[in-house]
Amino acid sequence: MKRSVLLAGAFGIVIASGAWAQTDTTQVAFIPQIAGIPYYVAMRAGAERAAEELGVEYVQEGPVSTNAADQLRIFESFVTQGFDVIAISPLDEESLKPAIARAREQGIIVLTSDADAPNSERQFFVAQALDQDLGYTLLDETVKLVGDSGKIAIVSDSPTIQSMQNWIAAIQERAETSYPKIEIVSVDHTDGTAARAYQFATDAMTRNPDLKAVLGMASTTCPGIAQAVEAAGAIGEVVSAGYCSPNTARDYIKSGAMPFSVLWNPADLGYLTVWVADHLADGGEIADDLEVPGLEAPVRYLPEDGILLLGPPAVFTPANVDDYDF
Amino acid sequence: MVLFASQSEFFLTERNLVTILRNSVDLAVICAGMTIVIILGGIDVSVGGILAVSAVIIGRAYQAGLPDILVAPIGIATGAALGAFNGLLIARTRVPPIVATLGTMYIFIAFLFLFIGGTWISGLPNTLSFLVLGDVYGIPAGVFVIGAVYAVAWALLRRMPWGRRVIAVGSDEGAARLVGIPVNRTKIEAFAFLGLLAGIAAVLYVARLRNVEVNIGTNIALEAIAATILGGANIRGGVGSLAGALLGVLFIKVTQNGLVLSGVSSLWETVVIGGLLLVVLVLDAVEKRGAG
Repeated sequence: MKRSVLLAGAFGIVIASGAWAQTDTTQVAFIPQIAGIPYYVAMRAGAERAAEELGVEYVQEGPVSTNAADQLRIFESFVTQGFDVIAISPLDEESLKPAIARAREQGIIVLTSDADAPNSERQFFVAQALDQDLGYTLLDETVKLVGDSGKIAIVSDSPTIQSMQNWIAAIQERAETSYPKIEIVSVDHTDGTAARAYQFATDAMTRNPDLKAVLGMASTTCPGIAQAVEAAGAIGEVVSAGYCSPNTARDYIKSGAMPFSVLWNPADLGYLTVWVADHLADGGEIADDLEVPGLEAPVRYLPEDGILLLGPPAVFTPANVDDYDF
Repeated sequence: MVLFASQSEFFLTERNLVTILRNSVDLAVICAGMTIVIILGGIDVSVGGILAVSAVIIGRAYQAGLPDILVAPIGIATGAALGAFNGLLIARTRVPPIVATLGTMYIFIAFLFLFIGGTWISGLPNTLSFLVLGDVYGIPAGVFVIGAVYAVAWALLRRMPWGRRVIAVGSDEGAARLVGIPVNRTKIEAFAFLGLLAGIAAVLYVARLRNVEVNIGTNIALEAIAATILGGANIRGGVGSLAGALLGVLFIKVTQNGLVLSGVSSLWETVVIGGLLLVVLVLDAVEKRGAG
């Protein structure tokens, strides 16, 4: 009895996915690092706008926690469903490499978007901004506020997220080459909760009473580090900043606990991802910089790394934070 | 603790100890209920999910403009209801608690995503923050919150007939049934009490951090179970200590804090806590074998 129910369920899923694969329009899937955070919701809004304008079908589905195995499972389910283009923001390059290779063998176009897996067989990386530009911009803006000497702590999300590791490396490199008196005192990794980010930021301030800044690498860390600065009564003494979406940082940008935040516009990134997906699915090629209708800045093409670059990072301050909603 | 104090001059400062306390409040509150459930011979891996759902309801209630006096009871009632649901499921179906609550955890987390529709709830009012961040005559408010919760839990467990029923069910469920103890009711009540405490923890969490993120409650169930067992509870039921659980909570939070202050990578903390948990369980098993 139990088995027949399971079989019927599995059969239903197979039928449903079969019907899915038979439509003629180009089908584009995007797999974010986690479902449900405002950042990827904004990306979906941009992607859906492009999908509507270009007449393609767009599906976005991600894991409920930053779990590489779940992400791989979702990737493989899109391969099974026969999508034309699969874009992914990888959590863990190693676990995805063989799956990406298999998808390519089946003729599926695979892009990375938002984060990269440079050693995989993905065709292009649709990049929001170069990791180096982001790392440099965050530290440069921090130095403008706290001066070019002093201690800085970094609070990041899971250490398996490659893009965040790259940003940390870029910040460290910039500190060594341009600001020798800036010292990165710690790099801690949370489990994605605001409570842990709060804890790490508070502990860093306790350990280093002369701490100048706490930098958050993920939107998941931002409310926690800014709250820690507020709760310690350290607004004006310790700067919190990071790669934080305007919505998660807005209150703290206005209170002064987080004077600025560095990021890009994810809606534009989603738009560009779908545009590139449609372009490639229609047999188009990419050999040079692109003018994408619907985007303000031209898209740079970096052929040696296969990167399509959205534009320079954006800095959100009290003056412009209300212009964004993600 | 001595080790951390010797490794970092900041560890034993008043400010740091208050910080550790503030960061412990939600876990400590949940552990009081977890201890009772483990003494009962149960376990609840869904408390993170209960905390998350309660927090979402609290966030939505604030957004709807309700005052604290309504928001906090709504959040706590949500937790109690979900806990009672766990208890009902376990008592009626006789499904092992770890499996039943694993199932409900998935449902609660899914509910969280469905309900908040992919956005964080942020910028909530801080009118209840004093419960965690404030102090009364120089004593951190968290001490009173934890004290009140543990006093109630202790009274229930050690001074009321209900507590003796919990211990009886946890020691030998079959015998408890034979002597006429309402086993099912006791189970439902114990799980509901844990859920209620998870609801209180949600109120405190939102009061402290003023936002509800989609990862809320991620590790708290495992931390609570670890703290309770480190505190001397027997995972097979019948035995457990509220004071011990509180020490377990302190141990986990002090380890998290102390490693950071000593400049050790935070990646080691789970190794330390997991390792110690294994040591405790192995010692327990060896002792049992020796005695038997």
